[in-house]
Amino acid sequence: MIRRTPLCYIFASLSLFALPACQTHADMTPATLTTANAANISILKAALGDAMGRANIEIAAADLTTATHVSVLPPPPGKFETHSVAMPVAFDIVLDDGVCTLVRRDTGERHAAPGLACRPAKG
Amino acid sequence: MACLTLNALQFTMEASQSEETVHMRKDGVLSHLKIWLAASAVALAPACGGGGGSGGASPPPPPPPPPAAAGPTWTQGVYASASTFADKCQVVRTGVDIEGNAFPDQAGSVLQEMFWLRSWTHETYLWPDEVTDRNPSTYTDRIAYFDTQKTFATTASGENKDDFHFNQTTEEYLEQRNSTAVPGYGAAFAVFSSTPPRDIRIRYTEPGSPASESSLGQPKLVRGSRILQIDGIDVVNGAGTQAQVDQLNRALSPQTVGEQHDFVVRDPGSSTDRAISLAAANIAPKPVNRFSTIDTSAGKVGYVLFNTFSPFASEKDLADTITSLKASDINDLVLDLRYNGGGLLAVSSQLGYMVAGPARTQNRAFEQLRFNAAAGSRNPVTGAFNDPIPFYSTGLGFSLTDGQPLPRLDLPRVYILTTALTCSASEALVNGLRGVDVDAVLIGDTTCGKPFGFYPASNCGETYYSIQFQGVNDKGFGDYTDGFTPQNSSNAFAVKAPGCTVADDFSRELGDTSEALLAAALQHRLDGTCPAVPVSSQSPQSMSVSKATTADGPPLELPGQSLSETNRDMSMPRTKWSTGR
Repeated sequence: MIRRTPLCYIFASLSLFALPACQTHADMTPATLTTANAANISILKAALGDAMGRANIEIAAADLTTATHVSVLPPPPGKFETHSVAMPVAFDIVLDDGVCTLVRRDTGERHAAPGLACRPAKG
Repeated sequence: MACLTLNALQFTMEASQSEETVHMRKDGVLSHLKIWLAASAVALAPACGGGGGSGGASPPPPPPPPPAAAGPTWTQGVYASASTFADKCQVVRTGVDIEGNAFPDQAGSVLQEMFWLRSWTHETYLWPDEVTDRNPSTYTDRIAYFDTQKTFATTASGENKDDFHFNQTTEEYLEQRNSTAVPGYGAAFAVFSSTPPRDIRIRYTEPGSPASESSLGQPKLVRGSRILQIDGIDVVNGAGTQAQVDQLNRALSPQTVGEQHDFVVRDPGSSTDRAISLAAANIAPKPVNRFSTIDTSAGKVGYVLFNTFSPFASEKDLADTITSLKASDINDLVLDLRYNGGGLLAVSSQLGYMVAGPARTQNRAFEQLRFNAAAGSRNPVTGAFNDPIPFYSTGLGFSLTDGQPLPRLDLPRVYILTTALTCSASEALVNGLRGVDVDAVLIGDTTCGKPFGFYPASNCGETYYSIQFQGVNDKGFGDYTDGFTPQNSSNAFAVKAPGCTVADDFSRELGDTSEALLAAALQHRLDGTCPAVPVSSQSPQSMSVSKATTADGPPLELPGQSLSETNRDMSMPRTKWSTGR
């Protein structure tokens, strides 16, 4: 499911402009979920799980019918992780050739999410 | 000798449900971990060749025996990639873990597990050049081998340079990090004496918990309440048998919600005892335990008791608190981090921003992670570019909306209340603010001294913790392994900071303006002076941790307490409590 444009690779590796580079893709449009019902969230979590390589995905609280990105929470720090660098991982929600797609911000990786209902963001 | 298992000074009952089997290697104390002695990776001998046949035709020659299944071989100073050995396990787990992830184990050997430890240490340990390269094949126990994979140097103060090298089973690790709320009373205990006459007092209670419920017009437990009896057993001088000790232990660490026990306690300043009953509930520690605004002749002062950076809720809890304090128009802030052992560095960074504001923090590093020299500009664990951690000015999505602007106080100074339990991400806040010239005034005692961090690494059912980075501030400073200490401290090795040495004061509630640390902060704020004598030493309710031999028992030997009281990680949750009989 992962598709990476060469530009994404280059810019992500440089940690510069990864997202703008990916978003300049002509057919990619910022999107929101059409509905945040349980079924759609389940599809979203499954896609994020594939993207993260994790079975259990917790997403940050947000209204995903208006937000154009979703944050995946890290596993909670263990009790001995007193200097934890854990951070949420943000994914932009876009429509890529009509397919709802999740674009990981820090790497530029794109993960198609077939079945996920989303629509172009308003405004 | 009958022993009672209690927690360390930072023990919160709700967080101590399972018998702790973490195996810290602090102070040279080896654990009693169940070690699966690995069967030696001896290759099975090839089946013997068959007996001679009879008859005329010559049988085909037997196939050559398979090569012996030799394990990896050791060449001093030569390290294969850790990935070569990852998940090659002596004992292969099948199925999924409690987070639903499939076990990655492949058939391997304990030798391969030790080669993984060796290479992983070489790649990610902060001081790989100080690790003696030992041949894994001379060991049979992966934990014993792991114990060798660290520096044994000492600091100028005589402390071990690396005192944060430990492991636990991955099962425990996952169980702990997925237990957000556990049965308990909502009381944090301080163990001042574990031998008769025992002295256990309340450090603080969680709001809305059984411990803070009202009984006969007052909270059931208050800061400083001393536990005298549990279920009819004399805690102070009794419990002379292991059975009684076990009974006390069970009562102090309830395992199920609703479990009820009877206590007799005495509050600070009181000469009478109170009988209370506590029923365990599911408790999740509240990051901001309480906050208030204090009116003074020099304007309003905000006070925040902030106990943990760990839960994701800490992000929103802090932002909401700072929003309230800003609305109160405070012009100074007292952050009570005396029991805050750390947690999420990003939330610590956000707190730094909320205190100092953008003018002091914009484009400045809150903390830069410093890895081993071979890592260069990369994080050797994640492979990512090692960008500095900024002062985050917005929500990050832990519990606030990602991108939501944070409130800010724009203060040039902050008072921070500290003890030896102030650790790690809490110290990073002190260091981060000092790095951008915010005046961090310390009131209390020397902090724990942990500028280090790690990414727990799991391999073959064991999770290993090994120091992988040191945090430095915007000025490049991070050498506070002996902690930060107030300027007038006699501690010769800790990093001196403006402020006053004051002993923790159990005679007053936290947030009470007459409580010794807060009172000293308010005094220092007004006139720049410190109390002439540590305030709590003048108080009849004050106490200091005693490790002296008592008349009825041996010296206190609390591993957890030594961690917290002698500049060590406070987070070791259990300790052994001797009855002294």
